[in-house]
Amino acid sequence: MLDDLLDGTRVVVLLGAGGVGKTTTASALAVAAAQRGLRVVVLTVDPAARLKDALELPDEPGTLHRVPLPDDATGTLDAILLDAKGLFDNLVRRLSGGSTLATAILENPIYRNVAGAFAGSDSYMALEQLLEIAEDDRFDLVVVDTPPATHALELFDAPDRILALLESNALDYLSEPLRLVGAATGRIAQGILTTLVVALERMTGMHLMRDISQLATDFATIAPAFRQRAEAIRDLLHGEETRFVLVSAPEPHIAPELLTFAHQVDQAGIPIDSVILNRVFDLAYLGSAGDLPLDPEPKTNRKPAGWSAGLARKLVQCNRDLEMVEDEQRRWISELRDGMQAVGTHPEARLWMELPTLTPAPTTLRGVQAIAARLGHPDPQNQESGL
Amino acid sequence: MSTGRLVIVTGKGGVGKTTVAAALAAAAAEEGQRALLLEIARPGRLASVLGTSPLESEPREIRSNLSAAELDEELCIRSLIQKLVPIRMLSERLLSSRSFQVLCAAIPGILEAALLNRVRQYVERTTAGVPDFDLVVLDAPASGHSVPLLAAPRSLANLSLLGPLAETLRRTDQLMNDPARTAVAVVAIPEDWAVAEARELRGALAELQIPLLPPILNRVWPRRFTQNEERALNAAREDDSIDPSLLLAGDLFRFHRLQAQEAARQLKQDAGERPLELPLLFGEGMALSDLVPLQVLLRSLVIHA
Repeated sequence: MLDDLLDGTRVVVLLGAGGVGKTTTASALAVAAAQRGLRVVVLTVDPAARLKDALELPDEPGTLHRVPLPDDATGTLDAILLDAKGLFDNLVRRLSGGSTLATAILENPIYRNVAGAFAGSDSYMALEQLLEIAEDDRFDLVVVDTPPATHALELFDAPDRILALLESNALDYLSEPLRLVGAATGRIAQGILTTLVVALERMTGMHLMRDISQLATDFATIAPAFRQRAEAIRDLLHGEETRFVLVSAPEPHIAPELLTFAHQVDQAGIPIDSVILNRVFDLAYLGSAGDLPLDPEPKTNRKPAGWSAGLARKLVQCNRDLEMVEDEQRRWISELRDGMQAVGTHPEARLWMELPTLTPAPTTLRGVQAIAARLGHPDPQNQESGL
Repeated sequence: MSTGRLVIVTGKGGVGKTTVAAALAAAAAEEGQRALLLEIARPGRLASVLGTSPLESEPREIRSNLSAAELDEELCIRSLIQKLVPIRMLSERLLSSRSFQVLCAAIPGILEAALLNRVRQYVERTTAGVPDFDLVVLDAPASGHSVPLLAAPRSLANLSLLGPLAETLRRTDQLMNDPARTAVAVVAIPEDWAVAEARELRGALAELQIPLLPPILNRVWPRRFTQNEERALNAAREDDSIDPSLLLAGDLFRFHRLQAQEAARQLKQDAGERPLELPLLFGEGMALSDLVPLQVLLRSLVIHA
């Protein structure tokens, strides 16, 4: 199952709403792939960066960190938190050949801000990071943990947006703010132009305007090299070696969104190769997972503990409530499976994996390894693919 | 000048921000306050929670005293620019200029500032001196995107902007920092990451001097057993006198109860006050009628906010 997903794959991108367990799943997928002998990097783009908790990383964005694996693992795992600013700096340096031009750009007073906002460059930089790792022959596979739902769609659009920007005359215009209103001739047009520029100055402050214009001029010089990168990123995303995995959970507050999101993803031209349904509540699995850490002897000075009919009734009620959760989830899951049949052109080829709820939740490396083991060896009922 | 109040709801993805925001506005409406629920226009769930057709950018009353609307980024920018460049022809010209769009993208936080500016307009909107809305509830993005949003007016103001934009930003920033008008509700669930993120977020917001409501702990499993019964359960485990599936069911409730206590303890440690706990609803879907238990608890928060 997992082998099908990893076969011939260089990049796995995980998509899904907030709180479905994308980070845990991405980490587990990366661990499982590394245990199969692949040299894996897991990259997180989510500013909340829970990946550092899941893999117990130091808080140092932009640097690869080796993650310890069990002894039987034949591959390797590195993890990296996105450092958009640092990456942009390096990119500017590299593309401008380390010249004074790089210094001019990097020292531009508004560069720091612009670097973080240029055509949504956080998402763009995530892809630049992805490309760098994918091009690095020290690694076989990149697993990408994206920000929640729609922010991820922006991510996918990013190369096209940056290409559109580079192909438009926006940079030229920005370098000459007066051209904002086009080739204005005549007194009225000149008057409008002047008012407009005054308005712009008042809105932004004169220096900001001048600095943007300077930055745009400098940046235009490295634009062709930048365009090549953006094209390479677009090719990578649309290429055969990139797989997209939709992550969801069969919970009432999350599941209804899955189908809406799946359709949006599909319409954005992203083929969903696999669905991982996380946190499937399974009493049988929980029963086999060993005892829960409970307070062994609650403090009390009341009469000694005794069994009562009331307690028995309560237990039956607890059990009934939980079975109801299970039943409800089964209904969600079958609705989701049916619904996903209407998404994409080859729904039958889509892989469908289910991972059980772990209690306590897998928030440490050990927990992630438990999920990875499960992902690598799903039980027979999950081994069918598609429907 | 009398204006409405603003509550911003945020937290880690998946903790139930939208539910809490809807419940909060519904609770206020029940109290006879005119409430407005705002969602930032990403294909959102608010409409489905409210059981209504997709929201529009103009507030629509969806039931007595309760209106809802979505904030569209482009419309927010438009409204900001039109306010700053009051000559319609010029503002239209600007807005349709590709370069201007690039310029907007290049000014960090302008989009966020425009969104918050729009929120402020709703809070301050009055008819004949009376606020249109007593309470505006903003269903904000998840933690990671929430701090940049709320910090935007401040960081933009730091660019030492001049003129009307600076003035507008200053007023929005003032609203964000005015405890008499604004408060942020950070929502968590009793899980390590959600609690960790809530604590980080509250720390970051406190640094921005944005007023905070007590933390909200959502989806707390109900307490089912007395201490005496827990001892009986432990004894029964020892002598195998109980059906393992029943014991597991009991254990799950007990374990989640312990987790909730630990979450509450950690949140209290930072906040100095106990979190407001909202129960996990068993076997219930998400519709406004299901939010009634949440409303009862939240009502006290609305009154005292």
